[in-house]
Parts: sequence; C-alpha cells; structure tokens
Amino acid sequence: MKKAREFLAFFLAAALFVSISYFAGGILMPHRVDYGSTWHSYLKEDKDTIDVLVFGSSIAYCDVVPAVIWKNTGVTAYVMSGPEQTLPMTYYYVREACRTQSPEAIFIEVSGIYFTRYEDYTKVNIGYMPWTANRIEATFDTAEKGERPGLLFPMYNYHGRVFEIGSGEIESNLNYTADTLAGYTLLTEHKAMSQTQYRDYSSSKSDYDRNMQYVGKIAQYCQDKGIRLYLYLAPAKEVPDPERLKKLKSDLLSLPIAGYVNFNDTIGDIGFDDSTDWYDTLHLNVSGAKKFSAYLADYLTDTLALKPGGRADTALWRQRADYAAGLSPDSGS
Amino acid sequence: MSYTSLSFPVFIAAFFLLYYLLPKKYQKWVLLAGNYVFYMWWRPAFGALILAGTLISYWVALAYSKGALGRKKLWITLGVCYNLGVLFVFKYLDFFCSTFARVLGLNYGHELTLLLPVGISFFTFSAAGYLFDVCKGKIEAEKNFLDFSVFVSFFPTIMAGPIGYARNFLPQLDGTKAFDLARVKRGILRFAWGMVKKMVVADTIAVIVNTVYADAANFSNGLILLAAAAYSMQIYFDFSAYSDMAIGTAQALGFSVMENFDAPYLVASVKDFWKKWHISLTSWLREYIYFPLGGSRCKKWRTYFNVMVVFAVSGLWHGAAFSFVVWGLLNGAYQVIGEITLPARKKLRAALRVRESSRVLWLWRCAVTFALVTIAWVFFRAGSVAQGLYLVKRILTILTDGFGGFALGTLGLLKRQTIMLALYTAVFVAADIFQAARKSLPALEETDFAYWGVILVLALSVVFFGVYGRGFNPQDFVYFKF
Repeated sequence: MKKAREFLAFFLAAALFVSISYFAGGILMPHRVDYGSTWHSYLKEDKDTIDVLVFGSSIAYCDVVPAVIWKNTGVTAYVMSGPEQTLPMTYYYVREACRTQSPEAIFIEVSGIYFTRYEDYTKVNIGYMPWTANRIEATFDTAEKGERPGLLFPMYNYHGRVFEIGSGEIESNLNYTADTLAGYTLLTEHKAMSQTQYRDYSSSKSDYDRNMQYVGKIAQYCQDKGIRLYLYLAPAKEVPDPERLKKLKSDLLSLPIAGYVNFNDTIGDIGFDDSTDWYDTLHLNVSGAKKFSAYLADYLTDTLALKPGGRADTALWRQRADYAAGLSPDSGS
Repeated sequence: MSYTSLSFPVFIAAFFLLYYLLPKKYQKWVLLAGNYVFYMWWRPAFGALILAGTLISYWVALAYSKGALGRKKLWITLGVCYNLGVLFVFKYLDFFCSTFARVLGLNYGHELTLLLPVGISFFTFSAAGYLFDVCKGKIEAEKNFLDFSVFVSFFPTIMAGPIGYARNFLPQLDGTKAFDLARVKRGILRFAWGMVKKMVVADTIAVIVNTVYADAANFSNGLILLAAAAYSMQIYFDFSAYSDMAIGTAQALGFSVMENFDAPYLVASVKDFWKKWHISLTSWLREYIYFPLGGSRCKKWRTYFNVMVVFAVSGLWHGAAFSFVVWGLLNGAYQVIGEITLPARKKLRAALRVRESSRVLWLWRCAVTFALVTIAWVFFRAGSVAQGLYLVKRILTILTDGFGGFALGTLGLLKRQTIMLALYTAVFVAADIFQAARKSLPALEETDFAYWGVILVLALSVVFFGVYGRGFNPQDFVYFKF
C-alpha cells in the first residue's frame, strides 16, 4: 500500500510537471499569426477543405494570396510555409499539413533548394509545429544540436518571457482563430526595382544534394498519397544564373512530380509594375502578390485544370476575399 | 560535467540504474567508472591527471607505511609535493613567474596559459590531506586501490567540494550500498533545493552583479554598494547550492559528505563566519597549516601571524591573483583586529549597559560582520586590487557624497524578476534562520504526496524562473574557477 502511494505520488508529480511545463511553454511562445509557421491558425481550418497547399520559404507566404485564388477560381488554397525554410523542413511540413487536409495539389516554391543545411529560423519553423512524430523527426533531422533542447522542451527557449508577457498576449495564445489571410503575410512597403540580377548563394553542393534528396522524398510522399506535386520558382528580381537553373530543372524533372514551372520565364505576362509591386528583390508586396496570385489562379485552372473541391466554408472564404480585396500598400499605414 | 548541464540528468539516471541494479560486487567499479565519465566529460585528457594523482598518492602512502628504503617521510613529502606541484603548475606558475619578472623589472613574455582543470584545487587538497593523515597516523595507508581511486575521484564532490577527507570517506566504502528509498529521497530533495538556490536565486543576482561590476563608473555609489552586497549573497547562494547538490547526490548514493555551510551570514563576528563558511576548506587549512604552525597555543603575536598566514594561503588557494591575497589578508586582519579590540569593545558595551545576550546587539554585530565580509568580497570579485580599491572608495564615498540615487531599473532585471528574486531570497534566508536556530525539519522523505509535491514546486521553480537556455554556461559556478 505504501509503495503504491509512493508510485502514485511520483507519477502524479511527474505528470503535473510535464503538463504544466508544456502548457506554459505553449502560452509563453510569442503569438504567431504571420511570417510563416502559423500552425495554430492552420489547425483551425475545417478538416479536408483545402484544395491546394503552398509550401516553401518566405517567398511563398509573401507572394501568394489564397483569397485572390479563391475569388477568381473557387479553388481553396492555404500557404503553410516557414521563414528561410529548407527542403527537409518542408518535407515534414507537407506530412504534417496533410494530416488534417487532403489537397488535390501541392505547390512548393523551391528557392530553398539553395539554402544551407541550417538557416536562421529553425526555432520558429519547428517550434510552432504541433506535437506529433513529424515535429520530433524534424527536430532530430533538421535542427542544429544546440536548438534541440528548446524544440523538445519549449520552456527552455521561452521561460524568460514569464517576466514580460502581458495578459493580452496570454489570452491571444489561448484563443488562436482561423487566419483571415490563409497563411499569406501582408507586406505593404515597396521598393522600386530595376534590372533582374543573378543571385549569389553560400550553400555547398552537399547542401543542394540534401535539399534535392528531400524534394525526392516529398515527391514520393505525394505520389503515394495521390497528390499532384508542382514545384515552382516565384517571380523575383534576383534569380539563379542560367547554369543553375538548367541543372535545377533537369534534377527536378527527374523526380516523379506533376510539373515544374519557373514564373520568371513569364514574368512579363503577370503585369508587375517595377516601381510599386516589390517589397525587395525576392518578395512581392501586397499589390505584387495580388497580381501574382491572380496569374497563379488562372494558371491553376487553365493550364493545370484544377477544379474547386467544393468543400470550402463559403462564408469564411467570402470574408477572406472581401478582406483581401481591401488590402493595398496603404493598409500598413 | 556540471549538475546544471543538460547531460547530467541523462548521466545520473543511467548511473543510478547501473549502481543499484547491477550485482553489488560491481558497485564500486560502476562508481569509479561514473566518477571518471563525470570528470572527463569536460576535458577527457584531464582524467589522466586524476589517475596520476591517485596512483602516486596511493603508492607513496603504502611506501611510507612499509618504510620503503628506510626513508619514511621522504615518501609523504614526494606525494604532497606532487599534488601541490600539479596545482602550482596549472594554477600559479604563470602568476609567480610574471610577478617575479615584474619585481626584477624583466619582461615575462612566456605565459603558459594552461587551461585550469576544473576541481584541481579540491582533489589535490583531498589527496594531500590523505597523505598528511597517513603521516600523522590518523589513518592507515589504504591498501585497496579501487577504494582509494573512488575516494580521490568521487564525482559528487570532485568539481567544487566539499573537500573530501579520507578518514571520513574510506570507511564508508566497506560493504555495499543497498537502495534505501528514504535516503535517496532525502538526497533528491537536497539536490533540488540546491538547484533552485543556484539557478533561480544566485544566477539572477549575478545579473545585477555583472551589470554593475562590468561598468562601475556609470553607476551611483548606492548601486555599487547594492551590487557589493548582492555579490555577498550571490557567492553564498552559488557555492552553498553546489554543496547542496553535491551532498544530495552523495546522499542518494549512500555516502555522507561533510557539510560546507551553516548559515554563515547569521553570525556576530568574522571569526564565527569562518567557522560556518566553506567549512571543508577552513577545516583543511586549520588542520594542515594552522595547527602545524602552532595554532593558538603560542604567543599572541605568533597566533596572529599564524592566522594571517592561513588566510593568505586561503586567498591564494582561491586564485592566482593579488586581489585574492588581499581578500584573504583582509579576512585575517578582521580576526586579528577583532581579537585585539575585544577587551575594549566589551568595556564599551558594559559602559553603555548593553547586555552581551541582547538581540539588538547580535543584530548589530551581524550587520557589521556582513559589511566587513562584503568589503572583502569586493576584492574577490573585482579582478584586480586597483579595481577593488576603486569600488571600496566609491562605497566609502557614500559617507560624504551620499548614495547618489537607486535607479534599480538599470541593474538588468525586469520588475517581475526583481519581485521573484526578493521572494525566493526571503525563502532561503528564512531557511538559514531556521537552520541557525537549530530547529529540525520535518522528515519530509517519510511522506509521499507532500514530498513529491515539494519536489514538483522546486522543479517548476527552476523551469519557470531559473536562468538557463541558449547561451547559459552550466560551468558557471563561482567555485569552478578555483
């Protein structure tokens, strides 16, 4: 009897310790509703209501406005990318996102193919993922050793915020809602652009090979799940040189994917105004993103023959479309 | 490895399982292996240093007891010279060479800048103490090499003490250690208590201390005084926390280790402070230096000289710098002056009709003792005598220029953090008052829900309010530097 009480007391204390620590860790994390890795909002989407999932790095969440796509085509899209996301991380994002949604097609912006093995936002990319096997695998597979303790035990990273967090933020963190922008991040500032230039990369061949290996894993996963996988390069003012692009295209097309498209090849058709539509050389601001999204919407239906799944909450998407329609470079001021 | 590193929980869990579950005939071997893994985790090569010290001390003690070559004391001298020689080479060689070069007006450009092995001052003193004890006949030379190796490398205390005494430790190695739940629980509680003391209190106070000491010129006299007092508290909480964790770990393994602190700031004189501060080192210095010099059983001036020698050595033991020597000499001087002025102070109290047993007098004397000790700690923390003098001068300037303001917001802590620190400090001070009053604590380890409830609160205290995370250095115990 005494031993049983001892064990019960121990396990109760241990369970309380784990529960309180992880609950507090979740609350103390900075509220996150934009700039990617917005898993809390994503999980508020009704199950199996998204037709197209978009992944990649910041270029994905800054350039694609799902509400514009829905308004033009009825196709529901959601951007579930993360800042400076490498392709191995995207692999785990794809798997995780497909736990609650069964998209017809997946789009991955593949500029991250030239990222180094460890970029700056591992903590954000993994830290906001739900506690599933994908998160644990991503932690051990893609995170630097020094980041792992904080990813496995969030209080390690965020306990210091106990001295600064306000009640408003705590309330927000307890009550995440569906994202009105469906994963898009609003950028309002603009920078006038001139000539397109070739971009310098610091990654090595082994970084590229590793990223490519995970594109292969994503392709295999999509094939197994019957999801059409499209890889693309978003329009940019800094692009890979022709040699790189040639190799990239050849490597990607050797994989079991539904298609690859470099939107820089048709950038003239999108109708950008170089004096108003760019945030910087890699990202579009809201007016540029809306133009690209409208172009992408046409591409989805006209070229890829994608059709709306008809599973969407129309009221929610109408609200999203109305909100997006009101967004302009002035929205930020 | 440090108790506050992330690898320690993994190490200790695996070690405990092996220690208690493997057949008892392997228990000492498991302990020895654990000792070396724990120590070599930091720098594997330094394991050789422990092994060499163990081999030499073991062998010379046996040679002494057998009277090998007919030169008994030669062996002990060799052993002590080896242990203190290793300490000298790693810790003091550069200091002495550069000092001599400076005295002779030479340019000493050959610094060895050897990496100081963590705990070297502790394990070399343990081994040297063993040899002195063998020489004085207080203990027989240990014949069992395994036992002796376990003693020298005992992991709970090897990094920062308490300094082990062979005569207390070796007898505990007779027989095996059965798993005793109450004892293990007592050890875990002591460990957790130390963990909170270190990570919540000492490391938070360190923010204040580091902020001010890094840029003292830009802080008011009042804040410098506050930082000086804060350092007195930081070093106490930091070092006593380490001792708590070491004693707790040893307890959980079935060993009893010397207490190192006994509410040292709740005393009425510097002499009493040194009876309750770093007790294992003070005892070592008293037994192996002060007594052989004649202790207090000689003329007064000689006793005073002996005290000064002991405290100069104590200062040097802490670090190879004149600021440590000044710290030691100040503490020695306090005691000598205290002895010399004792009759006069007694007369003054009698004239003022203050009873010796008065609570107010005791509080006053506690405050004065704390102030004196704090002034000495300023040199200990300052890093140089010049910086120490500057800080003391700024503190004394309060008498003429005032405090100059208390902008607490500039000390590096947030408001909530300051409140948290005040609350936890109050808890630990209350615990010291309780300890000083010699009141016995309820045997919490005999309970189940109450015990694990307390452990839960302590663990959550560390998780919520502790200083850790990226950038945290688990080796950052004040006494790891010695």
